[in-house]
Amino acid sequence: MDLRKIYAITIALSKSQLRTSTSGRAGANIFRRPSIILILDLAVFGACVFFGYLFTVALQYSFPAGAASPDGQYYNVLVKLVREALIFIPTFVPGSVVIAGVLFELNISSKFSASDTVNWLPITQVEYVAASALSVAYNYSLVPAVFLGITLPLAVQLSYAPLWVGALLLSVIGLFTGGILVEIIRAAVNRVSTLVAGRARKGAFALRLLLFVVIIIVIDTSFNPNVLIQVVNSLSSTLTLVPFVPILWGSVALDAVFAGDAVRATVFSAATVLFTALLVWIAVKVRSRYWAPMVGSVAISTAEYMPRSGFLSRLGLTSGEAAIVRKDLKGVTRRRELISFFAVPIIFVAIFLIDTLTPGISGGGGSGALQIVTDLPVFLAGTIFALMISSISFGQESKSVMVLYSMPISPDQILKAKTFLALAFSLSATTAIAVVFWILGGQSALFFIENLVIAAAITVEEVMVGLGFGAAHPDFQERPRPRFVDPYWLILMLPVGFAVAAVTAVPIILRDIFVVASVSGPTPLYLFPAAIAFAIVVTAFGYRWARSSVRKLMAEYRI
Amino acid sequence: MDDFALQATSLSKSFGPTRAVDGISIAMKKGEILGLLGPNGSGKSTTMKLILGILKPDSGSIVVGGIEVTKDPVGVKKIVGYVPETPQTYEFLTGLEYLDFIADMYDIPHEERKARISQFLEGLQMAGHENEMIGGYSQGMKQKIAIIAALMHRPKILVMDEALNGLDPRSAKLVKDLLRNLANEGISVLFSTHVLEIAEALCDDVAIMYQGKVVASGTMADLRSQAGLPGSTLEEVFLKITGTGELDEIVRELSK
Repeated sequence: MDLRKIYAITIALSKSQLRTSTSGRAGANIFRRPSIILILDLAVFGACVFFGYLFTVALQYSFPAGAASPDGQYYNVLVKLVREALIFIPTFVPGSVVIAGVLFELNISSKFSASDTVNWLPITQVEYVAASALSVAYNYSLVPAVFLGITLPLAVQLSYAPLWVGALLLSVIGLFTGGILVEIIRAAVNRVSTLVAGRARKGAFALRLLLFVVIIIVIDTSFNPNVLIQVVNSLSSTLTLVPFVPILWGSVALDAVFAGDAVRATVFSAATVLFTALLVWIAVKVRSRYWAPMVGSVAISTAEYMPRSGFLSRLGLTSGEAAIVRKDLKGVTRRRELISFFAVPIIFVAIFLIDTLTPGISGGGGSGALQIVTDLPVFLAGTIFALMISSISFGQESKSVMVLYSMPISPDQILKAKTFLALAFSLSATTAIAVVFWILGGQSALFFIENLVIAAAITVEEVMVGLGFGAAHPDFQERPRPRFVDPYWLILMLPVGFAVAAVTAVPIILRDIFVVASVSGPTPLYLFPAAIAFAIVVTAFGYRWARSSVRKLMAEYRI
Repeated sequence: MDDFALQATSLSKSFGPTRAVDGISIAMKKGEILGLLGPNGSGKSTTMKLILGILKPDSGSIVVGGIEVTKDPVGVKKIVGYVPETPQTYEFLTGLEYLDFIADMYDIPHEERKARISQFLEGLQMAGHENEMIGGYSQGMKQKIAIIAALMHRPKILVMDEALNGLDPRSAKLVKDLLRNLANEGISVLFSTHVLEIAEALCDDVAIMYQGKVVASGTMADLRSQAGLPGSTLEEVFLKITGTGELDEIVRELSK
């Protein structure tokens, strides 16, 4: 194992993460250099230390005599919280890295993530896995920086400094452990992809989407605080099981540090290191066995070619418009980088369901609280899904947008095709989510209809807003991770989308407030036409903006 | 006027401070194969994109098949077949799905498209690979798909940017012979290449571009005459005209 090679690969992988454009000035830009991550870590750590210090001052002011203060029981609760937070950090860090890694690392094209290079350069699997894990750990090092920064002043104030040092050391190991876990998942997902693509036919691509969703939900559930609290509660009655859960060993070691049990602390610290080493070994084996260095030839169908018009033409789409719809539809299920966009609402609903159904989270809220709990995801998911799907409509063409430029199809026809698919997907998703939460919340049919009408209006207007942003500011770059929309405009699009949705949802918001406040009276029906009229105005504005943007975009190839 | 499939006059295009195309004029007769030669970055691909309406000229006019490109780009694209310098396809589609997509774009009748696709796949030895995703194709296979896509709708004018790149010798020969046959039937071909032997063997006329300008044009005999190199090869003429012929010293340095 050559440490210089590992360092060189780590730097290359970090650069490929940071340099999301092909700008020739990348080398001169401080924000494109790996050192920016360290600078950000230190800056965030410093800011968190400052906030932690302010909290410490407030603590001293509120409890001048510590536990002996008048409200000493609260002081004790806070001290316990700080101690448990410190003990929990080494368990939290790898989980956070895994979640971030799954969301942001797995959709990177291998040819842009420099991972193909390993196939022809003299680099061993161990060196590559170590470097890749290190780069992932480094990229997400902000997570422990936040927690360690906030807890440092409190740890000093409460004489938990040794515990903090232990948390720091174990967090560093936890970061690397998270990176290694991402490597294992990457190889596993790659295996699933090749297995699915190689053996199965059309329906199997949906299976890949399903597997992707399942992996994220399982991982999220594994590190979901609500679920973890339930697990810890159940474990508290069977504490003997804890030593058999490796991910908790770091926290067990810190607990031993707090208890002054040096032997236990040493044993579990060493076990944490050994567990990480074992994961490295597994990652190397999994990668060696499952990594496909090249895209294999994937046969989709062996049936005889029979061109047909399909039902899209009967819906008023021309031959060219229908072709774009069919092409995009195939891309949804076949392009790994798109899967996460379509998986988001499913994951969103699933995670919301997990939180809702976990005891102690919503169970005690009564019917009014449950009303809001079941209404919120309908509008949020409708908003997010419609915005995301529509905004990526143009950027997802990537470099292949050249095909559209060279085809005899007008910008208005392209927009029609993109609008059709975004509306079809978004309205289907919104309806499905509304039905799921209607059943879950046990609402009346009238409430369901009211929700559905407003959710549909929101979905339509959000599609148009998303198309406007997506057409005006598409991002066709593919490296290292396709973004599809200029990230600055994406950041602007989200609050605009949420604001528009919030205004449209006013009738529902008022209705739910009446329910929670137990105010009797009819739903403010007169607001519904106003909300629909607002949605129509937004839709019309969005469509006009999208149309002029597409015309401008397609007037000349500028990529 | 009616004899010309393409007339570009005083065409200019800049990208920021770079003048990619600098006041060039090109005319291509019906049934003619016009070779566009030039070193990397000389403006060949930009010229082709201007002709197709993918780029807008800063100045000048382009008429393709009697249609002014800036006024009706979609109309021009209907009668032109284009092979870009690197095959830009949708890699998540199979070869067949991509060709079906292209056929839909040109609204080719179902029976005709089925027959055309089948013929081209067989001819270019792609039969058996048509149901594989393009992402798994070799460079040459992608190029073949791009060529089929450009020819499928029976265009009146072909714009082919380095179209023979990556093709195996048999397929390259087939495409060259096909282009000659199509030209004989009245289809015009604008063809760029770095392989001067191909240009010499295939093209009726040649235009040599250098730094955004057409520095020489005409038949092979015209070019030899312009370069003052009678009896020379196109390579010698090309190196002389573009002033890139002083290679001996560089070779000596690199060989050390």
